[in-house]
Amino acid sequence: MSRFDKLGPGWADVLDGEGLEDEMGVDLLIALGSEARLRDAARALALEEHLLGVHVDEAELASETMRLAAQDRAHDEVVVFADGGLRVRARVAEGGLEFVQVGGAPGATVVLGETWVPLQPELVARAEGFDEMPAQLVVLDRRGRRRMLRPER
Amino acid sequence: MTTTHPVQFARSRTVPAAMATAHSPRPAVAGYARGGSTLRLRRWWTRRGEVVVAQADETAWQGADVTGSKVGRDELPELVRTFVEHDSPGGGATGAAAGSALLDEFSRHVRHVTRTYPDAWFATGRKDEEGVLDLSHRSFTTCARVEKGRFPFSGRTPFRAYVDERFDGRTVRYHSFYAKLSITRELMRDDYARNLSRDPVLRWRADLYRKVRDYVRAHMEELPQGRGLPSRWQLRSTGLRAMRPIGVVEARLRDRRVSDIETIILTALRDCGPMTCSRLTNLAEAVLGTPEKEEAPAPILQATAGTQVGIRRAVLDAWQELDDDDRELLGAIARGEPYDSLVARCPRFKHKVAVTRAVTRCGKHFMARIAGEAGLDDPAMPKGVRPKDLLELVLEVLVEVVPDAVSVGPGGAR
Repeated sequence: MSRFDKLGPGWADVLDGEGLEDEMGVDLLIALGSEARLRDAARALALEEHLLGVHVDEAELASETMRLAAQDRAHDEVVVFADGGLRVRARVAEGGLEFVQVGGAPGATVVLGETWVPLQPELVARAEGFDEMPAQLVVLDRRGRRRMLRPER
Repeated sequence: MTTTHPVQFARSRTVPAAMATAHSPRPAVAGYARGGSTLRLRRWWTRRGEVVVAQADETAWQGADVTGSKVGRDELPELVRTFVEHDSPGGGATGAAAGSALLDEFSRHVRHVTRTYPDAWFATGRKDEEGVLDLSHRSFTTCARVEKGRFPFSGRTPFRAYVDERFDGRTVRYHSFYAKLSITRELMRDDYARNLSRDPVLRWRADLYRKVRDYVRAHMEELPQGRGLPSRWQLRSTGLRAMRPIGVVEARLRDRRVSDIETIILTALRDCGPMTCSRLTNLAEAVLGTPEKEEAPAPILQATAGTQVGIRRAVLDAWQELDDDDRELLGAIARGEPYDSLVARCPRFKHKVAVTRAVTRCGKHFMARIAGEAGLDDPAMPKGVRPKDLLELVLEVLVEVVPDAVSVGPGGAR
């Protein structure tokens, strides 16, 4: 195989056997031609895969800026959960739940799965990562007893 | 334009069926629910960006009558408009706030778009936070500053076009991120092309593609697929053949330990039918196996910043000093052009002697200039210093000074 095959088509036929191998700078020109052909191939391959849509998924990300009115409703919603004298007001707000203890002895803790939210009377306590109002609320009172609070009618 | 999304509602209320199926763009109907189950909604976008929601369900309707409630808005068109209107040196806080919010939007969507791409398509060669963020910023800059000739931009910056054409948010996102030929994906294509010519393993893939392309151009029949799609190639002698799944063909070639590209191409086109060059390249890569990545050898010539500038200047000077015919010759080599097309432009090079003399002359001339600038004593390349060490720099300069030094296929974005 001729060194000049690294240039474009036809060059080897012209340059082979002309004693150019030892000429100064010919290596540079061959390397230049070879590199140029490789870059051209790289561009062509990238373009081909681009046009074929390799790796393309046109499914759009659900945008947070597109809010449904139903979400507004959830944000406005306030529910008071109660069990006897123990009462907790809850609200969905900005990707979390806010709780305010409005009745009962202080020292209660809301349990949301793995998340525990200690309450202080009349102060807002927040649990991040919850965007729906629970149907009922599990609360540990100051003695550690488990209480099930239900929405007030 | 409609989309469907599953949405869950927490409450159950009753709403008249007529209300639920209303499609008008007035903000009257906002949401529906059915006992906490997942419902499918349709959303209609109006010029003002409002959303009208209605549910199509075969069962009885339940939901909420929320007449007068606030309806969701797509803020993206407004952000773009505000940014474009205030995008000037004295744009003030309004423009800056819109730009910041837009950049956040770009980051979110670019992160989503890029989730299906491998490392090779990122500028740093790695798909990480830095790479995605860098791409987001470049997409934003391109949309804000770079005038694009193609549809739908028509010589305007994308942001300007979005404002002029009053595109809604979905269309803005489509042209910026999600379309197959979006601004973001064009940037990724350029990054991938650059990586293909620099990373050792990817260079191997690009070279494999070149060999595949050269072979099919010489021996196969082209099947154009229409505008915007690459051609497929098929055997010249067609006839009845039993087709096999490409996975089967690949496994069989691997079992036979086939190592020459011609056999792989012929077998693939015979057993799988017409294929594109990139598909053939992927198959060949799977059969041959990708070479292991090696540590790049340390450059023999330690190029300092000063040396780099000097070499760039030397290449520019050397180029300027060439006569027109020699420039044509060097340009043809740098473009990888066939010899015959050079002869068509410069009949003087029809004679062998003229070509060999010009090649010798150009080579000596460039070497003398570059070696002199690099501080080498001898104008010839000294022992241990290969042309490869200087090639990257030389080529970068030549790409700038030689018109179309590296050809760009149809649809190129330069």
